[in-house]
Amino acid sequence: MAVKHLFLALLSQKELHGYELKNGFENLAGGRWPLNFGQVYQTLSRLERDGLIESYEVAQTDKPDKKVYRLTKAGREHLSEWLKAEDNWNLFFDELALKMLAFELIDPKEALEILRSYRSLTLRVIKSLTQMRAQKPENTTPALLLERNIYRAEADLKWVTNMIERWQKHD
Amino acid sequence: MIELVNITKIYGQKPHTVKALERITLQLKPNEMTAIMGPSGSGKTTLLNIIGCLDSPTSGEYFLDGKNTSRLDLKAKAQLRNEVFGFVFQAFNLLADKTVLENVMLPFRYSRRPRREWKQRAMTALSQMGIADLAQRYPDQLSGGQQQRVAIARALANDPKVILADEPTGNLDSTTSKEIIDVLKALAEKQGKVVVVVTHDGMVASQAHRLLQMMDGRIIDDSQIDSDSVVFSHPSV
Repeated sequence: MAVKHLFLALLSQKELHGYELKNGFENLAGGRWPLNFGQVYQTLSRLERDGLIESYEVAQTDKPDKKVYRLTKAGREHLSEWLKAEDNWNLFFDELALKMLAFELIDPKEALEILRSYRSLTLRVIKSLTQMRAQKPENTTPALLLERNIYRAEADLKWVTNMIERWQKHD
Repeated sequence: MIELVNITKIYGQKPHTVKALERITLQLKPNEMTAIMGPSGSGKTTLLNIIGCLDSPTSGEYFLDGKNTSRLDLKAKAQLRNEVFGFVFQAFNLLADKTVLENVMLPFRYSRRPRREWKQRAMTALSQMGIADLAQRYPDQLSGGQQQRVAIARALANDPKVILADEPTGNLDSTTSKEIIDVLKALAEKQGKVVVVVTHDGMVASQAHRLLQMMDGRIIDDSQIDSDSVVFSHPSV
C-alpha cells in the first residue's frame, strides 16, 4: 500500500532501478522500515501490470542487464490522487484499541494494569522519540514525522492518565 | 540522601481540614532526576515544598542524609534550606532591578560565604549555564530560556545537593523546554545532584529517570523511565 505510493513518488523525480527504489524507500523511512527484494519486485511488477510504471532494459558489460523503471502518465495521476485524497481515520489503529474492546470481558484490575503499563510505554516512547528528534536536522521530513509522533504520544499520555484516574475513583 | 516516611500534611483547622498529602513514603537519590506529575490539587507542590523545607509536615518523619529534620528549629531549617536546596520556579522569580550577576549572587547574602568569593562563584554558575556573557544584562533584556538559565545558575550558586523545580518549563516553548530539562538532567547525571521537577508536560516528564504520579495527596505510581526498551513497528505492506 504505502510502498507502492512511495515508489511512485520516488519515480516522479527520476528513472530508477529496483535496488535504487529499495534504498530510496528505506532512506525516506529513516532506516526503520526495511524491504526485502521479494517485496520490491512484487510491488514493481504489480505497478507495471496496472500501467502505472513502465520499464526498459539497459545493457551492461560484465553484469546482467538492469531494468530501469519510469512513471507513466497514469502513474503520475494515481500519485496525485493519492496525495490529495482525504484519509480514513483508523478507529482500531493499534493493539491497545483492540485490548480496550476486551476490557468489559476481563477483571477491571487487569484492565487498570494494562492502562498503567501503556502509560509507562507512552512515557518511554516520548523519551525515545525526543532523543531521536534531537539528532535530526531541523525542519526535515524525518524530524517532522518524529514531532508528529511525539505530539500523538503526548496526547495519548494525557488520555491514559485521565483514564487511570477515573478508573481508580471507580474502585 | 532524602527519605520521607509516612509524611502527611493537613491544612486548616477541624472540621474544615484539607488533606494535601497522605502517608507519603519516598526516597530520592543523587544522580537521579525525578519528575512529579498529577492533576491540580493532587499535592505535587506541597510535596516539593516539604522536601525543600519550605513547609513542615503535619506528621511523619523527614530524614536528610540520615538526620531527622522534623526536630530542627526554624533557624536551623532556614540554614538548611539555603545550603542544601536550590529552587527553580515557573515564573523565574528574578529581581527586575538587579543585573544577572547580582541576581545570582543573591543567595550569598543569607550564607556564611565571604564576600570576596561571591562574584567568582556566581560567574562559575553562569558559565555552567552557558550564559557568562549575559552577566551585566537585566532580566527584561533576556529571552524566557535565558531567564530560566539565570534562575538555575542562582539555584546552583551555593552548590546545593538538591535542585527542586516547580513547573520550570511552564512559561517556555517546547524547544526551549527541552533545553532547560536537558540542563537540569545534566546536573543530576554529571554533578550527582538530586533533581526533582514538578511538571504538567509529558515531554518534560519523559526526560526524567524516574516518574512519580500523584493523585489526591498520594503517590499512585512510581516508575523508572527506561527508553531503551521501546520497540517501534512499521505497518505491514
